[in-house]
Amino acid sequence: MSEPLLVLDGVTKRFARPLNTGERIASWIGAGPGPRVVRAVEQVSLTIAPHETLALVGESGCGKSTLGRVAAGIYAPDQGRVTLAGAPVMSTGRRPHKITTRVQTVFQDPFASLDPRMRVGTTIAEGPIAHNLVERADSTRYVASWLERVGLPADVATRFPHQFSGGQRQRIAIARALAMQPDLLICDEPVASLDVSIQAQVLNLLLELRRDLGLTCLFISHDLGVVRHVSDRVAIMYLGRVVELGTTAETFARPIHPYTRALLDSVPRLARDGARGREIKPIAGELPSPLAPPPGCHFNPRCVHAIDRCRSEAPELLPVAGRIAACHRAEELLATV
Amino acid sequence: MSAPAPLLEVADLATYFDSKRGVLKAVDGISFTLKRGEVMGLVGESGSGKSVTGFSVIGLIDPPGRIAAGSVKLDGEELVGKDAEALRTLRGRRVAMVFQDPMMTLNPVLSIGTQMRLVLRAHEDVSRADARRRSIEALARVGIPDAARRLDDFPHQFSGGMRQRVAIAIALLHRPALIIADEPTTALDVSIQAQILAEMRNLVRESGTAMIWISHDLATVSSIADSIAVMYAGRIVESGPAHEVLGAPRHPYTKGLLESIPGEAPPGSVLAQIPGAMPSLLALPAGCAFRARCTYAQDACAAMPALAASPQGHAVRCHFPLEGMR
Ligand SMILES: Nc1ncnc2c1ncn2[C@@H]1O[C@H](COP(=O)(O)OP(=O)(O)OP(=O)(O)O)[C@@H](O)[C@H]1O
Ligand SMILES: Nc1ncnc2c1ncn2[C@@H]1O[C@H](COP(=O)(O)OP(=O)(O)OP(=O)(O)O)[C@@H](O)[C@H]1O
Ligand SMILES: [Mg+2]
Ligand SMILES: [Mg+2]
Repeated sequence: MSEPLLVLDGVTKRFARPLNTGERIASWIGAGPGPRVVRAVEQVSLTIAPHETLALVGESGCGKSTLGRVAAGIYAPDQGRVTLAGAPVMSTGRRPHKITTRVQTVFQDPFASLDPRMRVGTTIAEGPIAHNLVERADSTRYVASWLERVGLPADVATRFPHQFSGGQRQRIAIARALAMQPDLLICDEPVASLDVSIQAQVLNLLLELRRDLGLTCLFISHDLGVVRHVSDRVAIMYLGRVVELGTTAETFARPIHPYTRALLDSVPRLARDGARGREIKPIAGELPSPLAPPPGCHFNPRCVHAIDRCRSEAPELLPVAGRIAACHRAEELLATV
Repeated sequence: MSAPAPLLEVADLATYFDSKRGVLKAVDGISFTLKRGEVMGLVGESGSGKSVTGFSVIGLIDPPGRIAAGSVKLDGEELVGKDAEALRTLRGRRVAMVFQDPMMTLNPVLSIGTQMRLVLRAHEDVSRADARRRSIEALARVGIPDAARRLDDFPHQFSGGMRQRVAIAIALLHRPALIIADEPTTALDVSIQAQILAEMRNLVRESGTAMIWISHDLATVSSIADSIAVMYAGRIVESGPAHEVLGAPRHPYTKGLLESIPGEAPPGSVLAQIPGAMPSLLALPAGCAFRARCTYAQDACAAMPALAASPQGHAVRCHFPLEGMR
């Protein structure tokens, strides 16, 4: 196997949550406020090989976007290291900042991620000019070539974002990211806000570009159908931790972690025979607050297989039958699938 | 024995919005019927007219919108043209709506218990104690733990999924004959979505309530609907029993939608895609509105095709319907 392109090593990211009014009053009168630190990402280690697509999945708030932003050099991790082809993604020191242009990001909401006052051509050309990827004099031609690459006519460059549909804006956002000639493209829910018919157009474009340009991708999505279609490997996250990691085909066919299993069982799938779907089996309970995750395995309160050990000791991510999962009962459960 | 009269009969319904740029034909001549206890999935891409259809059925169209033509009959009683007061009575009692955003139903400044009591008293003469008892029952039915204690809580004290459950409990208070659910799970997380989907399916089965389930997500619809109507640009282009529409789609648009969903195609393969986008409802082309995106289109498609139904009730609006796509 080749050297990994991206390495996330023991990454932790926490956010301080500001006090709300009630808590401020409580702290004045001396009643200490509850926990205030959101552990968005806890001790995550991952690698992505060149030309590989790794997907991150999990329920809302489990830390997918935060991890993506740490990988992209948008957030500095509180602990751990992020390197791209061996070099750090961010500077160290008091005010860390991104020091590579080789990672670029495409976000879910193409309405928010494009500056409404800037012409599309200017938006796309800005970065490449600033980083000397293209001379200003050549930028019009450069922009036109990227617009063409994402299936848009060159005259799009002179117009403003509001003149385009959601699918077209997402193409523009993709062109802007690719014009920076990244090695790693981070896609955070790139098709979640698009209609099915447009979603297929954008997914096809991403697949084609990935193949033609040899891109490596970190693909964040809550849509398991999309993940299954585009990714080579998949990492399942729960409350800031990776609980299972494996090839997409194996993970979907034979999930190990009880959370992965429950997640796969709970998603409605298209039942074209009108069998009214397999009966979907929802996961019981709600995601606990990330401010106060349950001790031990974070999934234990919702897990039908939980034993005492799961309530006290956090399982490590360990090899299980050639794959990896963080579950005390992984070996045992695997024998029952 | 004659077939029982349908609960809901919508015929040639048209809802237009007048604007400076012209008349927007959001819903343009749709017809469907719903039996008691039947769940109909109403699907189609964004802007195809699903929500406007739902609002039209329960008389919630305000200017600049207007019902331009057609009829909506509930239990044989015509609703189009009824005055606002009569419609309000109907909405509370016999028809209820659940929205994508539960705060369309909930009042942020009143406790849940107060809101439920007000809803009950709007249409029935109930004592405070009875209202309380029925509210607790309704909350428990939609899976709210510790319902008695939560009556005093305000909407912001519930999570998004719990808030949607409260909105559903309120919709069910008067045991309506028809619920219109407009993307009730779209804003929720996958696991909560599955819980609410399963719960609503059981609730309508137990109570025999009919439901129109509006969604752009065909997978969700396939797990709840008995019948499906596919909308495109303000018209129903295909409808029928769910297994027929999903298993053997006859309209090229339905087939395209189904094939563009990742999951069936081999991983990494090129997904079937429908080229282009839906035309503006302000300037629909004459004839079939899908024809510019349709690979099967021919000259005849410049004339509007009629909706033709099979004996099984599988209807399609297409000059060249597909055969046996299974
Ligand atoms: N800038 C921030 N400040 C404070 N808390 C944050 C911030 N960003 C994220 N969080 C918190 O960190 C946790 C993880 O959030 P994140 O956005 O990474 O989740 P996600 O998996 O991407 O969810 P979604 O599927 O909803 O996008 C959440 O509890 C969130 O509220
Ligand atoms: N109050 C309104 N005033 C003017 N136009 C409206 C109004 N409500 C809806 N429309 C228009 O009617 C058309 C159909 O809208 P509708 O909300 O029914 O679509 P939808 O199928 O529910 O889409 P979505 O999946 O995005 O909810 C759209 O073009 C919309 O812009
Ligand atoms: Mg996110
Ligand atoms: Mg709608």
